[in-house]
Amino acid sequence: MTDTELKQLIKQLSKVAGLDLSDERVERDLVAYKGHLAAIEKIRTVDLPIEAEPAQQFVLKRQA
Amino acid sequence: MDLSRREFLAASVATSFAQPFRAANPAGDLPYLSLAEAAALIKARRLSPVELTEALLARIDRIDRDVGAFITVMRDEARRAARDAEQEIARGRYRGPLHGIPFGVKDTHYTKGTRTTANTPVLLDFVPDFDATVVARLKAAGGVLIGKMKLPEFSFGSAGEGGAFPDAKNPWNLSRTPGGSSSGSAAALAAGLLTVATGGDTSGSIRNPATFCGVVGMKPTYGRVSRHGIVVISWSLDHVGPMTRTVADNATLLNVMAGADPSDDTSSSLPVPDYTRALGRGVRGLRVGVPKPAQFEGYHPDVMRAFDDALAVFRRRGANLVEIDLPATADLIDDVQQIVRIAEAASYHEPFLAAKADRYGQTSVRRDVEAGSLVTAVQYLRAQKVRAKFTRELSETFRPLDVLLTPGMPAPAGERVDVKQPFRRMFNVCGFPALVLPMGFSTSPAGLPLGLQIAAKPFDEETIYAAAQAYESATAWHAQRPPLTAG
Repeated sequence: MTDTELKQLIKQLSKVAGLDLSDERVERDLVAYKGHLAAIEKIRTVDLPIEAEPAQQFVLKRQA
Repeated sequence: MDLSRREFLAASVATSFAQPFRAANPAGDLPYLSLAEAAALIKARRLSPVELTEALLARIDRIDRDVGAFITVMRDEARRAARDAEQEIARGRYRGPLHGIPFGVKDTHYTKGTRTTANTPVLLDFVPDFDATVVARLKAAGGVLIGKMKLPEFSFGSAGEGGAFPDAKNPWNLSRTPGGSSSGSAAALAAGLLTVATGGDTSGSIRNPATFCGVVGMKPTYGRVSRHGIVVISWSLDHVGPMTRTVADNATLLNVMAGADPSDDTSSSLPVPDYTRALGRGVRGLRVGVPKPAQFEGYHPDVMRAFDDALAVFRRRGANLVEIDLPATADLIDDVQQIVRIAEAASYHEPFLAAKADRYGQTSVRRDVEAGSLVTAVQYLRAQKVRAKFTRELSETFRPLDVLLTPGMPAPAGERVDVKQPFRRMFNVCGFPALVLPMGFSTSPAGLPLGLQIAAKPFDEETIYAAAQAYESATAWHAQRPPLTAG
């Protein structure tokens, strides 16, 4: 995606996220978002079985 | 009955093995007493907690203008706590090795009635109404809280200006970074401004500054130390741990900090061993893994020279060194850490971004968490799936090993290198414990501390302490002091 497309995407996503970023903020955030997308692309290269579960912890306590 | 300090000292002279304090420990050495040394003197009533606290406060007044390790110095509270400790010990109620010992905490730790800023204008006026569990434990052990230590804004990054306060400086070279984000804790220990301290580690933030400042820093197993009452970066990656000048002190401090906490659902209920009992075990027969040389591509030559020397120490002491391959997922584990960290951070920051966005400092924090807010749930969960895969694979790698050795950092403070594997964030991702301790000094540039990292299986901090203490006892790096503070 071009920077212009990414900026439009950030603008729209920020509304969904409840941030509604200004054009100035979108400009500033672009470099960080591109960094996150680059990391996400690398993570996508890992083959995962359909059974793979995320490393989340839910700790339940015994209740009286 | 309250005892005056004069009566405390008089009582000390009356004890069978007491000697006048100053004969054994010139006042100039008080700031560099180890926890073990100070505790022995206090227990024997040869050193008053008030005297030790006043020595550190006086040194902070002289030195911290240059080092800048503190955000808040709690003079009145520290003096009051030191007097209380003195009187309690004089009455024969000695609580243990932390009793009367001055300590500092990273300014992410909630302190009841004292501001907790995380070095951000967003929290500049935040005064918690309770102590973080770690702070409460250290106080209950009789520790004397001296102050709140520097960090980059919200603990983001390993160094940086632009927060509510200027970052700390490296006592070994004031023009260099102390590392971070637990910069103030490490700098204060190196400069003799604290006896012990705490730090937080989400991406290496205890081990990085401990390496750069030449002190000992432990990131315990995830769940070993409570995170309750700590300003969050990322719930599943944040760790709290002890920072000290010696390995033995580190084990002693972890004894106090560790343990289950009903206020932290992720804290472990596994029993806490006495970590000091592992000291002196040695490394004979220890199975020590070392990554293959290709993993250290790009590392600074001074670091690799010191690391090779360290490996030779382990061999001479009877350890069995074996080269190991890392899981393939290790190559992208920093990317996994980035997505997990920033997505969780964005969630934590959601109310700040909604109500106080214009109050963030002149750093990249607001930018990073705003962009992190756009990471989707599916992307976050994919990173968590790879995290689970990596943790399983690394567990297999560790199966035939007791510990894994790497350099603490790929280069000395402030030197830029491009490396394939920094060996830092991976231990936040999997939650395994890892400690760094002094490993020598650089020659080019000269005189900057280098660190050795020792990692182990989950909840096996004891083996780390055994290995670290064996190395420390064979070297003298930990006894060096920065030229800033000579004399």
